[in-house]
Amino acid sequence: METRIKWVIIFFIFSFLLVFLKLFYWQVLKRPALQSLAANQYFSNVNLDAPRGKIYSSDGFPLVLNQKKFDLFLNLDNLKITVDQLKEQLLPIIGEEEKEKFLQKIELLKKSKNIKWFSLMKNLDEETKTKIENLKINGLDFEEKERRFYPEGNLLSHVLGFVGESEKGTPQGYFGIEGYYDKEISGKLGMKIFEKDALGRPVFIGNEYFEKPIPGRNLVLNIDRPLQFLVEKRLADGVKHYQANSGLVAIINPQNGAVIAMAAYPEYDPSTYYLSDQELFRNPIISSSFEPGSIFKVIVMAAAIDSGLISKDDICTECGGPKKIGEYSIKTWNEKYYPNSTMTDILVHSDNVGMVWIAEKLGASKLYSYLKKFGIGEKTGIDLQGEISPYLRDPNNWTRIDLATISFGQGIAVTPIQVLNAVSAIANGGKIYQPQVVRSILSDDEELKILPVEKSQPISSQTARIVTEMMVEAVEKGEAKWAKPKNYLIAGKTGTAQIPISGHYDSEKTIASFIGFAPINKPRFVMLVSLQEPKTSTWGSETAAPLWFKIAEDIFQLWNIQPDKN
Amino acid sequence: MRSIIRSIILSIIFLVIQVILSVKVVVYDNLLSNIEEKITSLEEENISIEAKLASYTSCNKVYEEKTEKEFFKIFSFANKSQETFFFALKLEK
Repeated sequence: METRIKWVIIFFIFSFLLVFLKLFYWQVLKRPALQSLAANQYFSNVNLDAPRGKIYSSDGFPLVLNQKKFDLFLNLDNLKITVDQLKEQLLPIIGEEEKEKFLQKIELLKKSKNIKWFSLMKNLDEETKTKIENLKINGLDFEEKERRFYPEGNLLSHVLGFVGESEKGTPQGYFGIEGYYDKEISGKLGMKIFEKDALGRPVFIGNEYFEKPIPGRNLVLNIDRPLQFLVEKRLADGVKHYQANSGLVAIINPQNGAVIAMAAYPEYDPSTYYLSDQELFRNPIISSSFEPGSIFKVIVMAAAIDSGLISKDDICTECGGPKKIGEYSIKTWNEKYYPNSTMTDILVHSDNVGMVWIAEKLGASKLYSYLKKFGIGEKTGIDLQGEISPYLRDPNNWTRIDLATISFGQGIAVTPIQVLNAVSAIANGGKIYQPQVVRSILSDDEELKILPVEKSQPISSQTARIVTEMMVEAVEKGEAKWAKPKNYLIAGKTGTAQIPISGHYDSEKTIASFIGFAPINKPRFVMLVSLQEPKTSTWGSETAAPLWFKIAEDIFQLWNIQPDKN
Repeated sequence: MRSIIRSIILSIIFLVIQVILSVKVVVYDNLLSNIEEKITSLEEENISIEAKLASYTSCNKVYEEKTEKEFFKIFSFANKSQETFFFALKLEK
C-alpha cells in the first residue's frame, strides 16, 4: 500500500514538474515573442510621413515644393448611379488636359468586370477634390498623397532629379540633387501607436504613443534662376537652329567652384518622370563621356608652359606641313599650315600639328601627371548623383600616336564637367575646386554653409595668366571672332571632335564645343557649350561658339558686367 | 458632531476643487488642441500660398507676360536685391 502511495506521489511530483517546465517555457523563455504577438493584437501602428525638404535657388525662390494631391478611387459596391451618369457629373469638373485620360478610364471601367475598386484619377488638387465631394456621389473615395511641385516646371530637371518610390514603398530621390541629398531632405518618418479593439477600431481611452515625424532639411542652391531660365531657352533654340541631336551648357564660378547654371537638352518633366524616356534622366554633363577635341588643347598647352619645357614665344619648328607618325599622318583641320608658329598662333589656328610638337616635347609621363592634377581620370566630386569618370590609361600603355592625338583632344574620354573644372583652374589662377551645386543646408535651427573645397593647384598663377592671354588671342583672331560680343574680352577655345563609330571617326558626325571665361581680369564665370551632331555646320566655331557668345551677352546684361573696351 | 460636519465640508470643498481643476484641465486641453490645429492649418495655408506665389512669379510666367527686355530689367533688379527673396526664407527659419 505504501509503495502505491509513493508511486502516486512520484507521479504527481513528475506531473507538476512537467507543468512547471511548460510554464517556464511559455512564461520565461517565450515571453518576448508572446508579448509582441499580444501587442500586435491590441496595438496598431501607423507611419507618419515626414515632409520632404524644399529646394531653393540662390535668390531664395522655391524650385521644388511639396503639395497635397489626391487620388480618386471608385468603390463599385457603393456606387448608386450608372457609370454614364458618373461621367456626366464629373466631366465638367475635370481640367481640359485631363479630360482625354478621364474618358479613357471611363471606357476601361465599362469593360472591367468583377472588380470592387477602380482608380479613376490621380494627382487631383484640393479645389477639384472639394468640387467632387460637393457632388455627394456615393462610392467615391480619395487618398491623400504629398507630391513634389515644381513652380518653374521643367527648369533644371537634370540637376534636380526626381522623387519616386523605394522598394519599401517610401519616397526616395533619384538622380541629381534629390538622389545625392536624399538622406538630408527625406527627414525621419514619425509613428503613431494606439490600442485597438477586437474589430481593429481605436480604443477611445486606450494607450497612445506618438512620435512626431522630423521634416527633411531645405537646400539652397548656387543656381542663378533667371540665368538658368535663359540658358535653357537659348540652348533649346540653339539645338533646333543648328539641327543638333542634343546639347548641353554648364556654367561655374571659377573662384569657388559654385555651379551657377547647368542645362541639357532635351529635358524631361520631373513631376511626370514616369512618362519620359529613362535615357533622359541621366545628366550628360556628369554622366556622359566624350572626346573633347580642340577645347582640350588649352589644358595641354597649360601643362607644357607650366612644366617650363616651352614658353609662350617659342617657335614650332615642325608646323610647316603634316606630321607623319608611323602609318598615320597628322593634319590641321583645314589643311593650312603655318611654319614658324608661336605657341599663341598654335591656339589661334587650332593647329593639330603644333599641338603634337608640344606634346612630344612634354612627353607622355609628364602630360599624364598634369592631366591627373587637372582632375582628368577621376570624379570631380560634384554633389549630384550619377557622376562617372572615364578611365585614363596609364602612360606606359600610350603609343606615340596616342600621345599625339591626346594633345588635340582625340583618343581620350572625359566628362563635360571634368573639362569645365580643368579650364576653371586656368581662369582662377591655377586652382582646382570641387564643383558644388548646393550652397547651404537649412533646418529649423541652423544653417550649414557648404564652403568651397580647394582640391589641388595643377599650374602656377603665372602659367594661368599666360594661357588666359593666349585664349583671349584665340577668340580675338580665331575662327569664331565674327560672333563675339563687341567690346568684351573673352578667353576661349573652339572645339570640333569627331565621334568614333565602329572603330573609325565619322567626319560628318561631330561634337561641336566652345569653352571660355570672362571677364578676363577676374573671371566670374566659366562656361562650356557643347552640341551633339549639329547639321547646319559640323564646326564648333559656327555652332557652339555663337551660342556661347549669346549666353555670355545674357550674363553681361543680367549681372551688369561692363565692357572691357569702350 | 462638529468634527463630522467639518470633515463633510472639507470633503465637499476638496471635491469642488477637484471638479474645477479637471474642468480647467479639459478646457486647457481643448485650447491646446485648438492652437495645435490652428498652427497646422496656418502651416498648410503657408505652404499653399508659397506654391501659388511661386507659380505667379516664376520665370516662365514673367517671360510669358513680358518682353525679353522687360525680363532682363526685372531679373537684374531681383539679382541686386536678393535679400528681398531671402526675407521669406528667413521668416520660415
